[in-house]
Amino acid sequence: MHSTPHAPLGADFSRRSFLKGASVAAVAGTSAAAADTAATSRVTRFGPGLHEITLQVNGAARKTQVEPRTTLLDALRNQLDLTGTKQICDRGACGGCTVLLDGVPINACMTLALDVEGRELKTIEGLANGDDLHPLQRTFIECDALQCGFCTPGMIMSGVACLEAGATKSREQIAGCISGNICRCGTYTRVVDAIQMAAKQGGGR
Amino acid sequence: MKPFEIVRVEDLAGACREAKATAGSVFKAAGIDLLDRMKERQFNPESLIDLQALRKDLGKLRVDADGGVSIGALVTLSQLASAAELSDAAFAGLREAAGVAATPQIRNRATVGGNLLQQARCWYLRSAAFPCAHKGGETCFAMYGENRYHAVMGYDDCVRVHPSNLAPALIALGAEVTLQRGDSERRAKITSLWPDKPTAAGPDHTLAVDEIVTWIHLPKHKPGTRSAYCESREKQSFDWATTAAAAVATVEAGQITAASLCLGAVAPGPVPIAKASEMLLGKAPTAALCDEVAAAAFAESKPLYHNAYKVQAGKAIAAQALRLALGLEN
Amino acid sequence: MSDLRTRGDHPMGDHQRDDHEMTIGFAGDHKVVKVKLKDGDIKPWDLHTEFKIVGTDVKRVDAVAKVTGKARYAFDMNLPGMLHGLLVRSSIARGKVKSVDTSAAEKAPGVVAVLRTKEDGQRVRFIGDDVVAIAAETMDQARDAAALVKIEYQQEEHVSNFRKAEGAPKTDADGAITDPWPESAEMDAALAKGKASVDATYSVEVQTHSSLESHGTVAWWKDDSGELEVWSSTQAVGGTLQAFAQAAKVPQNKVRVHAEFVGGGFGSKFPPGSEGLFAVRLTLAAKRPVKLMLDRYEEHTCTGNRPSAIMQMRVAADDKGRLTAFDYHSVGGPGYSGQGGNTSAPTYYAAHLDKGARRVAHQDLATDTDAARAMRAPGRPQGFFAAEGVLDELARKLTMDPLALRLVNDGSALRQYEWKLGAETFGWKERYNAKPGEPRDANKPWLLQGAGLSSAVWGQLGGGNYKVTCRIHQDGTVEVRNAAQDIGTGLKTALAILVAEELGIDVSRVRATTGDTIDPAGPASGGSTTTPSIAPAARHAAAKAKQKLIERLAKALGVEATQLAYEQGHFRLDGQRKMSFVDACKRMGPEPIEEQGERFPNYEAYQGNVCGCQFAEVEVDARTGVVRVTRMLAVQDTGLVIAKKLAESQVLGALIQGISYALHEQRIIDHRMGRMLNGDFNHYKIAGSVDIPQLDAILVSVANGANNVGAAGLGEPPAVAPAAAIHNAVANALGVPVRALPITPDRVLKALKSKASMQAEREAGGR
Repeated sequence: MHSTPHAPLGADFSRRSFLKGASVAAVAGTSAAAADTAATSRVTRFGPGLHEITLQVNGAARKTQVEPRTTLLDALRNQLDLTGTKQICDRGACGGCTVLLDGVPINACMTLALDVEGRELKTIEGLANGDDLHPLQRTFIECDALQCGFCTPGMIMSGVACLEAGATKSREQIAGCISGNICRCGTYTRVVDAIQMAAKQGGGR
Repeated sequence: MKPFEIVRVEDLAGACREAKATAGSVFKAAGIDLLDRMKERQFNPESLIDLQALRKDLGKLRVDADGGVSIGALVTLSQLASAAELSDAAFAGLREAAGVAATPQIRNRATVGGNLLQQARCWYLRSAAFPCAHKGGETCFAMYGENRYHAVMGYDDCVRVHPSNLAPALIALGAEVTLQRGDSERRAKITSLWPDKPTAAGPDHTLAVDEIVTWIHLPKHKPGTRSAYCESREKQSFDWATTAAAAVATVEAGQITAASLCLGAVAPGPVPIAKASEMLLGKAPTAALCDEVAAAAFAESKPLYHNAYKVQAGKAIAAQALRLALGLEN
Repeated sequence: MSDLRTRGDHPMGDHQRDDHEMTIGFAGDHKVVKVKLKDGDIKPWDLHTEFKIVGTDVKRVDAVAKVTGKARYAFDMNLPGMLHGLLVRSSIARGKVKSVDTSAAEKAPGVVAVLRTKEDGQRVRFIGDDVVAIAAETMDQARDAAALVKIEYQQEEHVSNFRKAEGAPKTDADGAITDPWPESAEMDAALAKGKASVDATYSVEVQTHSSLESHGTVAWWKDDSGELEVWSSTQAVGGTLQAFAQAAKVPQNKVRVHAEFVGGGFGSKFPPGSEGLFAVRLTLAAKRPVKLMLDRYEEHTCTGNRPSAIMQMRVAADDKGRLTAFDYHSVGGPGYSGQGGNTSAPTYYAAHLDKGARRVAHQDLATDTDAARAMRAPGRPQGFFAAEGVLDELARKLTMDPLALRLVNDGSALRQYEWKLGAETFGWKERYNAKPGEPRDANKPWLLQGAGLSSAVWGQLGGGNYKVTCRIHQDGTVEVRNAAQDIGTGLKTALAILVAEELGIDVSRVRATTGDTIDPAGPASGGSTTTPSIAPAARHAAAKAKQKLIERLAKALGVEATQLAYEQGHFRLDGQRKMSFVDACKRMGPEPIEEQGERFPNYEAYQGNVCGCQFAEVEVDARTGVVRVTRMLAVQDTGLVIAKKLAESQVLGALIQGISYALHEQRIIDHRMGRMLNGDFNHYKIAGSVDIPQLDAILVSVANGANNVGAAGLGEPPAVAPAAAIHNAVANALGVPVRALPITPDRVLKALKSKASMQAEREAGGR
């Protein structure tokens, strides 16, 4: 048995030779084919090995190394130790990994980390300002909109998006906003209560 | 997922060129369906040609000079569901189809192009454990297996169902597509995206490996045109349709002057019902007429062991879509 | 909390153990009983106790950690140098391992350890049985390596469908059992006594627990110290510690298991599983921490389930609805273990019958599928679904209101009270469709509506010789500690409340710690026993600590302890000087006070069952067969309600899980391969937010006289009735029972079709 850590950056993992791109780091390269043809656009290749990227998470630039196959969820949880974002179904069907991408809720498990470089990410860890909780975090506690708590971060992120979109006219509309989030303990009614309460307190538009 | 490389391109020509030059490559838009299959290791491309840089152009909708609307293939389902360009009642069905698909999180990323070209949700097809006929094996496991969500019509030796919500809505609207391959561009009926006779050995769609859907065009509709999209599903929160129907109709002076109906989730491809317009044109809209057309739409259905319920539900859904499009119901 | 002297303020000094009088029961029916307190125990709370905190809406004490993402579950542990592990699993349902070639996997990039979990010749018992364990630098690399493992099997014929297993009953095309009932002259006579009788077969499919945090363990073997530290997603830190020690071959005193936060369990997380044992074996091999958490497919296929069952029942009743015969038997499909498929029916409706008129039997059939595990009220949702369904069929034959039939046969005074309270609150009379199968609105003939109900019972009020630690610190903060794990039920909050109440202080002063084997042993979280098992010890610990504080304060003030009174968080000396709890703590000296409370056995006066009933209303679209639950009400005995809002949450959660079980959930297997097809959340359908209607819970506080607290757990009690109530509502709407779960559109349409053909036959016959 042997231990093989990650291959070094730019290792000979790829099937073709690379040229180092001027404006992109490490393994990213401009393809020879592209360079041959004048007046054609640039093509940039990544991987399959490791590549250094910078993610904008909760207002901070976080450098990390990912393979093209590394999902945003894995990068957040394993590389950046932001484990509030949960891995549950890993197929975009449960909402446990919901984060906000440019303010919009998405499934981190169905998103490649490379794809969101340079875009604004917000995770559950970025909602509160120190001990000062986000209004929705407070109403979640007030309404006891959680039990085991494993779906809770994803629920809250969907709820924050719901509030920010002002989609709080009715319980049905709120329920629609969290319809991509599964809870097994059965907190849905109280999650809707919590979003409604936050909206009434001015958390929504 | 097995290791793969990502190829970022800046324009269409580059995308087509790279796709042609790179063996084992496949286009990626948001990658929702793609990643799902790759995570199952059921589909293992070595190279993903990432089209996301094209969003600045193809991520938009535009009203065309002729009054129609063009939808960029990288427009997301969320964008589509709330697009101001589609506020006309003629497009209500399309907005509905986009708005009820998948989950809010998926709709925020999934694109129109990806939705149209996604693979069937057949659980045998999607599992690497079953060497099914649609992935090079010999058997359609669903044909005599667990087929409650499978096809009830239009199948040959593979009973997968087409999962796209948008396809029936767009077909009913008479949409066309622009396709790019290399330097050349062509326009075609949207139905040409899918094989006429879907088979196990045949492809999911008709595009060449280096061909891209760039735009979807909706023709201008007469005033008074309405459309509707309805689906049956087991859960109201995130579920796949068990049957779906999109209808478009124009009623003038109490008479139906234009009408179309297309079914989804019942066959390996979307199912336009040609006889629907024949049956509807020139008649006064009534609920009974809708039932007749819906029954005719399913006249040639051949349900499997576990899915006869889809025929009954499908008729009800088709009739409902027609009633909505004809203004008989709100 | 008012006057603590009425409730044993001097627990240690009071050796008089005369009979103690307490009032037990509930608002509608209570009585004074005498209980014998064990030496050292404190006087019990009872129906007349006035509380300051207990029973109020206290916020969940670990909620901040959970809403900020700071709560670290086992799945969230990231340790230095940690590897990612997985199990390579059997692709066949039955056979023996012939050979395993791991050589390519061992050489794969990032792989650090590869272990065999099955030797050549060992049997694999289902698709998903473990064969090889791998640890690698990343999960992707572990998966790459897994694909390189070559396993050859000596395949054997499998049976994954318990209906086809050896010994399965014969059934007709509709699934009804056609085998004759076991002969019994007494039963025949009892059946003949009735004015009407029903003989029907009901069935349920496999439901998976689907805890959102999957099963798994992070194990860290510390080679230098010979210690094994483990973070496990478990319902039993104590039991898993023993199993881990055995797997690691290290003494139990070198093993520590943490489960501070657990992302659900519902009965599936008692054993460590191969995922836990091999996380330990891998960390021993790699000498680095290893995380081995299952993926969703494994979670569906390898971690147990609520098993499938076929239940046949025949009942008869006289013209007043009084049962004359109750004959019930079931066949369970618990998977490869061949046991644990039992179902349980509400036999209390037949309590008045002679033994010969009351029969219950069960048989399990083994299959080559994952083995059943306990799941929230194991056996009851299935059995109650069948029996309450058959009772509704009987009521209909007698043209009796289903509620009236229950009231005639239910001997529980508590449930009689609950039935009436529930029926009134729910609006049973208006919601029950007196013309079953007929639409309410003639303009919408396809929209069918109906209402249904079901009783519930659970009978566990805890026990065991558990201890709880209570520590009072000099700064006035307090700790309560027990090793039992809070799997989302709110155990931490309950412990904090009990201690705060006993000490007369605010809950925010109390920190509750659970899920760490370094603390006094607690029970496994099962059978709704956790809270009732340790709550009395928590209260006892706080009472002892309080007494110690009084003694220390008395010493500091130079007075006798008996001169100090303690009320509402304040000490008074001879009714004069006043001192706050915090000030008193400052005077207690340098050492914190630490006391262990004991869990004394339940009193003899203990009343027994936790009772409840539920009501459901549904709408059915007769065109598509889609059912929507439009309203549900649970009336639930909760023993002493400790944390009101949390208790309600747990009851509402049971309704939601029940809606999902009733309408959506089923494991679908391709029986040719024995492989689950919907091992995901795409086609394994769990009810979501939009599927949930208005839900209400009425908590009936019952002083059960079991011990000094009288708490009841709420894992199981509210989980018994939902599916039965919903099915009965659907039957009321359709005018015909579906008799199978889940009530999917295909089954609804089939039931309507059979009703139509029965009607046609009747009409034809009448001509």
